[in-house]
Amino acid sequence: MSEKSPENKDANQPVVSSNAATVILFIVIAIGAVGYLVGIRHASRVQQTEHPVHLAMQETRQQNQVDQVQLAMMYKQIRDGNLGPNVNWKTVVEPHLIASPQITPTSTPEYGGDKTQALAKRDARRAYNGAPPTIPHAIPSTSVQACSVCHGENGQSLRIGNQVIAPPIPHEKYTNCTQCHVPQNPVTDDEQHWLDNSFAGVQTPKQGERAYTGAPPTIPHSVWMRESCMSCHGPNGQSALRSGHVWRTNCLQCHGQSATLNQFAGENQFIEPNFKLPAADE
Amino acid sequence: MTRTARLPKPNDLEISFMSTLQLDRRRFLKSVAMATATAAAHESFAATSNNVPLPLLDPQVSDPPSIDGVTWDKAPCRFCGTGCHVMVGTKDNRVVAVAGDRHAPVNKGLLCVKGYHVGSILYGKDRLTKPLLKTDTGYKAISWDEAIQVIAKRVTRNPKGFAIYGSGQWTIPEGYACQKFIKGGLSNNHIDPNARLCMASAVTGFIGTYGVDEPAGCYDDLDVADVIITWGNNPAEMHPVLFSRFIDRRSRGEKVTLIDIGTRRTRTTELANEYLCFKPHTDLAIANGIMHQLIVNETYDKQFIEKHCNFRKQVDPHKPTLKGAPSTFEDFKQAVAEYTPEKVEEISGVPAEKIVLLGKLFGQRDLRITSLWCMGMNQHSAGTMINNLVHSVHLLSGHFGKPGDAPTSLTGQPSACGTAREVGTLAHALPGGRLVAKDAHRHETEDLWNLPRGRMNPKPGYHTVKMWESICTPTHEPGGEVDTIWVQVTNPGQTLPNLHKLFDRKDDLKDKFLIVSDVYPTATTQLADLILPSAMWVEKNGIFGNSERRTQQWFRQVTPPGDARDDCWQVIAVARALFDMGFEGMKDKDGKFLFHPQSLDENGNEIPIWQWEHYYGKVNVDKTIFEEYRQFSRLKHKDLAPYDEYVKARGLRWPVVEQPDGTWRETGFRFSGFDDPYVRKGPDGKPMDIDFYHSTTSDGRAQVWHYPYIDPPEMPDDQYPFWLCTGRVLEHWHSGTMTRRVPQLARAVPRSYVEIHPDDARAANIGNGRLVKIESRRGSIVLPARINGRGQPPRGSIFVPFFDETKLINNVTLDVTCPISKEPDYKKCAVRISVASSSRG
Repeated sequence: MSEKSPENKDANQPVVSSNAATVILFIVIAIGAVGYLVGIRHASRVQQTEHPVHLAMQETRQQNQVDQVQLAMMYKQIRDGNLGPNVNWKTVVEPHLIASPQITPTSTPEYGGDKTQALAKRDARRAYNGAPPTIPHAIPSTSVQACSVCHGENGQSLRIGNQVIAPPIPHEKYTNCTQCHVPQNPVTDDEQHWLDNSFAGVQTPKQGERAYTGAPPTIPHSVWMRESCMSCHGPNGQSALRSGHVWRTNCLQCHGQSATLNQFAGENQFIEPNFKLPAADE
Repeated sequence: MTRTARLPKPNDLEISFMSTLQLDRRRFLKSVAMATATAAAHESFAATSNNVPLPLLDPQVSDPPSIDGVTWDKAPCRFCGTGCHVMVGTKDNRVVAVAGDRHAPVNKGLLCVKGYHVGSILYGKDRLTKPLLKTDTGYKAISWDEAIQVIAKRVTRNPKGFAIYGSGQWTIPEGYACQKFIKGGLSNNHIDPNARLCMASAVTGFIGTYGVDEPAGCYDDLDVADVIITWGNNPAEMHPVLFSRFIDRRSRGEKVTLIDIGTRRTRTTELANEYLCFKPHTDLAIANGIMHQLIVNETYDKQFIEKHCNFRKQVDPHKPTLKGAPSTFEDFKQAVAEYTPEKVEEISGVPAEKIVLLGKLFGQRDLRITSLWCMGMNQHSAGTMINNLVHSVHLLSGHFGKPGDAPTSLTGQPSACGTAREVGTLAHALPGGRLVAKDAHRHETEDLWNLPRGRMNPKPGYHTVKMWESICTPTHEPGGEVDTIWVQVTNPGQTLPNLHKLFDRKDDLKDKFLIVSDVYPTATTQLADLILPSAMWVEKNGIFGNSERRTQQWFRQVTPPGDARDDCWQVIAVARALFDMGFEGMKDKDGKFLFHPQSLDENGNEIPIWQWEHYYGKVNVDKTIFEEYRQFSRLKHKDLAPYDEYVKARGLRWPVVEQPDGTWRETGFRFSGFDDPYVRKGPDGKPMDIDFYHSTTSDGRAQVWHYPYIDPPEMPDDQYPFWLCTGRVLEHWHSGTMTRRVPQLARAVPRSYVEIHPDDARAANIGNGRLVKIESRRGSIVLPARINGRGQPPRGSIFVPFFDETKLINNVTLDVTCPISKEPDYKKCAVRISVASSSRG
């Protein structure tokens, strides 16, 4: 077998290259395994410190970078997504961007701040306390579904940092949003007279009444159309209006309502007694 | 991912449209800069151009009021015919808040954006507060005494030429006082309401079909109907609370099928299951097509027809009459035979299979079907006919008289039913469904008013279009005998059709005199010779009657500004001035004042209610008028309860009948044995299922009409190739006198515009926001184009809202009326469009 056929010689080559391939495969698998473990470690570390939505966004951006075909987003993703002309804007504010956090005892949102200013902000979009707020942005003329994309139900809303961008809807679902809420066009100098109306509506009340120091305050507004307390007083409300104890979910357990404001007043409170109460000194 | 929402196109955005359209660049930048500066001042405001904070404070009001010490009372909303109740919060003699009334069966606590801002209508800066008389040097403020004398002298000068033009916004007592003043006092019948422009065709439709006016059904139908059909109707914008009442049922898991039969896509269409886009006027063919399907499929309700219906037709469809002529089922079948789905498609443009679908729906007995309509079917040159036909569709298919099965017309004004139709403030009518031409009715009225026999004039007065034609015609020429019109609570200078012909010409005729009672300057006060400042809404006591026969009372809650006073007082004061001058007509047959019964307090003492300081004193004039008026309500079984019952209720639907225990019971479903106490008993002693007890054929039956499709009087041609339709938008009510003074509403829709189909716009080189000239044979107007906005007309049609007094679309519209109801057609005429030369593009 001194003379090896070229075929055999050639046949050896694949052996060598097969060995090399094995080595390469091993290295690849090893790197892959290490990468995988590191990846897991990294991911779990990140998950501990950052909100999952951040990861989702990073993923989206990476996909964009490699120019892959993207699946269409869900509407809820759109509001958090990294899209179009707002890419840079998002990058700037990204460190402040958080999605609606879960209401759990471990994620207490901050509360406090200037209540007067927060209430003034409310008043600026309402003719009086109780009026449906006007819409401070452009809207589609016909699509009612467009509203609920950002103004979520169940207390979900769009926020950037501490700023509520799209407050959640505080009332039960009605179909025809533009029945009550209308956008406001800019007014030029010579159109200022359009605002010449001296109606002075009631202000948003600053606080409810307390029977004694430490008593839970009563609710100073009607709860009609404001059934979802969490919309304003929950983690998505303005910080100055937020409850200090958002983990308690049964608000009306402690906070009394106003029969007058809820339009239940007017009927007799007691049955008419069939005797006359004697005066105290009799 | 599923696409549930249609993504907005840039054109679709209401704000971006307006901001680019209405502002030139420099102004726009300036307003943005202003807004940004304001926003910077309040750092918590998001810095957007739209967020200019509103000036909330009146200089007279030092601080915004707090909720403490606010008094709440009920009132019906001031705007449309839905008749929502609001709770009005007042403090220190000012309205400070409004809330939807949760105890109101109509709206159950919900309102629309107009209703929520109804309080602001009292506080526009340019409220009229002094009587103003036109002189050679302009308008001069005069006292009320002088103003009353001026009117009294106009009356004595020519009592036969004195007319009153009112509206469905008159309260019931106001309309009744005018009615008594003109028909009982002046013995002429020249009184008509703007309701003539609004629901006259609905009235003739009801009378022609059932022999008596107003819907048999009610809003409860909307809670149970399986299918709602809107005929040329856009309740999402025009009756939003009723729209929500049925469309929100879907959110609760109920199935509500909405079919929109219309001439343009609207917000209602967006939520409709089917949209049937028809060529204007061809709803006549569609209704015939449905009846054809019911006949050929033999799915009409044989039992209902046999028991409850007669057939009726016009002898000459080109010369129709209210009564028509008797017909037979065989005749009827033959007449509708030509309206095959294919033929209807050819006429109307609605695909044949959709006509078949409608036929199938109406053929199903187990479905509950409610039809809704408003101006689309009423402002129609065949208004009476299409009203009759839609009733006929419901009768033929038996979709009548069960909850959810009803043909229901909606009204546009808060008391179109209450004041115009029930009080009968029309040129031919008397209170309670009576007619001036009927001797018995006149005599009955004379007796109730304690007038001598023969006082009242049997000749009907001029209806709206004729009345205004008359004041625009020289007095010595035929038809020109009306020389004075007193306008109350309406704005004909904006809302009459063909304004050049019916309004502007008055200005050239110096012996004519126009008196206008209103709350703000309007297009009508522009030509007024005497302007009277009126109290409005909760500045006065009032009673309205809404679309579902519901009579609603409220009390005055704040006082009117300056010298503004109640319209009702104004009429009584003029009547008294005439009485004091010895004018015979203002005396009853005992020589007492015409309004003597209204001046008596509880002890029978006469209080001088014609003096303003006594008007809100010992006598509630609304109550004394209502108690007299309600005696008229029995003839047509529209029984009204005593005034005090309405004080307690959030409105009651007539007939309101006293029960053995002394309580008063309202009626939801008229002509239905299970609810209407006036339905007669059958042979078995039980109330019949259905009884049309005011039948024109006196046999308890309703009339099923046939009427063919006939082309409208003006159609697009080579010269004027487009259809023009006019109407309203959600935010503004009628001529915008009130809503355009509410900042939130004015800013939402600042100005009028014209909706054009994108292809038509492209063909005419019109971009979104570009100024477009719209011309008809009668006049022209320039408006910015709006493409793909909230309403989207099909090719060949344009739409213009009429609320903007600076852009009078009624210079363009046609004054042809329905031959029976005399209601003009604002929904179609022929126009052409072009880029306006002054357009900046």
